[in-house]
Amino acid sequence: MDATPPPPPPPSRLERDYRRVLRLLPAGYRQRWEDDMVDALLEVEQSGADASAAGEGPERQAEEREIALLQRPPLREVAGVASLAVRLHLASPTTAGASATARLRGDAVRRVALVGLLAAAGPALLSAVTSLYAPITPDVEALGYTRGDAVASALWALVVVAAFTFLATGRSRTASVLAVLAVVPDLRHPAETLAGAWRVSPGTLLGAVCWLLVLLAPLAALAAWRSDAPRPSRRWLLALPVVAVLGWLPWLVWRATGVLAAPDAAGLLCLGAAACAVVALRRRDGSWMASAGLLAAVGGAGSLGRLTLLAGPPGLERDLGWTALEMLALAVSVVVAAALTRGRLPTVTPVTSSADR
Amino acid sequence: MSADVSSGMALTEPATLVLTALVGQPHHGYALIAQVEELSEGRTRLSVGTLYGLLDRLSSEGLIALDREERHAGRTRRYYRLTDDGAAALDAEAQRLAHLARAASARLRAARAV
Repeated sequence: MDATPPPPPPPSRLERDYRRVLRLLPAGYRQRWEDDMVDALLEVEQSGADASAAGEGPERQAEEREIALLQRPPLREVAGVASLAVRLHLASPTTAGASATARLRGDAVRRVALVGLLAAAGPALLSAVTSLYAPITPDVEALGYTRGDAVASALWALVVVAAFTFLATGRSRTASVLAVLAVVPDLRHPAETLAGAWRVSPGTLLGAVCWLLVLLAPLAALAAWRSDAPRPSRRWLLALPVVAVLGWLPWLVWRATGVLAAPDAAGLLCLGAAACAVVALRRRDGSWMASAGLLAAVGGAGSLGRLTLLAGPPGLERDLGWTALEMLALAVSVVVAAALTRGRLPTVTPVTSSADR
Repeated sequence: MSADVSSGMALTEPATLVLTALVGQPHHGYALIAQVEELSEGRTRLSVGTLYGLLDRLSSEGLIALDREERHAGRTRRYYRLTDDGAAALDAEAQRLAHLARAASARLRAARAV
């Protein structure tokens, strides 16, 4: 007598699609949990179908169970898997089931969010202070700019300062909401360029895309700040007034020489990349080097985009010195990426203490 | 000893619900989702992704363990059970919540008496 068990039924559409969604998870994790997760999802959906037809008889219930298998996975289940995938790919030192590489990657991306918000918050703090304390001269007032406008401008600038402060003190959810709020006005210019893509040159379009990358990359990096991420070191808070004061230097140079060479958001990310690279070399820490590479790639792309079309905020004259520095950062990012690919950089254990971050 | 027990850290609500569901009887993934929904009177409905992230964490902290595996419709179905550390962590959390509830009730009674 043949004791071979019957072959399993062919996978339903629900199962096929859910397994496709599960490919978002790291391979090792998927290998361990995939069957179990699929089994749970099918049971959830079929039991829901059962309940919806309760009281209509067993035949109707069986029909509903079959129909449930023909559906796509519900959005909340897809979102649940996506959230788990982000947690595992951009892991914190305590994330269960995550690889050492994912922890290093998570450290690097979380630092990109910190540097990105710091690069926005430093100049914003300076702008808020100058808006509040700078006298409004008669010629400026003649243009319709009042004390009320100055206060409103200062308050708006403080939104991004608050976003960075919340992130640096470990309240990443509030920081994310404020950061999104703060970036919305800046999105208008590149978004309008993209909306009118049919009437602008390819260079202008590329510039707008690169500028969106500069604005949105730090926001996307905030996704790596989850509840199990360690709190950043207090040194990040101290960096805020330092960056704000450094932002004052270009204006002092301008008053002394008439040459204005203030870095914009892309330039500041390039400077952040250089700072991370210096720390990485001092500590021989792969996660800082990866942060440097990511920041240089984003800042360098923004810088390149500005060169092709100048889609950045209009008004600031750029000098070749800054552009050269940013191009250097781009070159560094390429070298770092190449070194990472060949495994030549030190890959130390990811930081586990907030004091090291 | 797990981090949650040794450090006295509060468990999250979903973790408390999952541990509670496992008291006295091992369960598989779907049964846990159903139990959590029932225990929370419909307030907490875990997605499968959230549940397995949680199971992985509780398992790595030693609060739950794999009880057995069964084949079901051609797929592996795992059953989880509460460990001694898990029971201790749940007991500590239950006492913490009971203390909080007593304190809240006492203050409410005192406020009403004024």
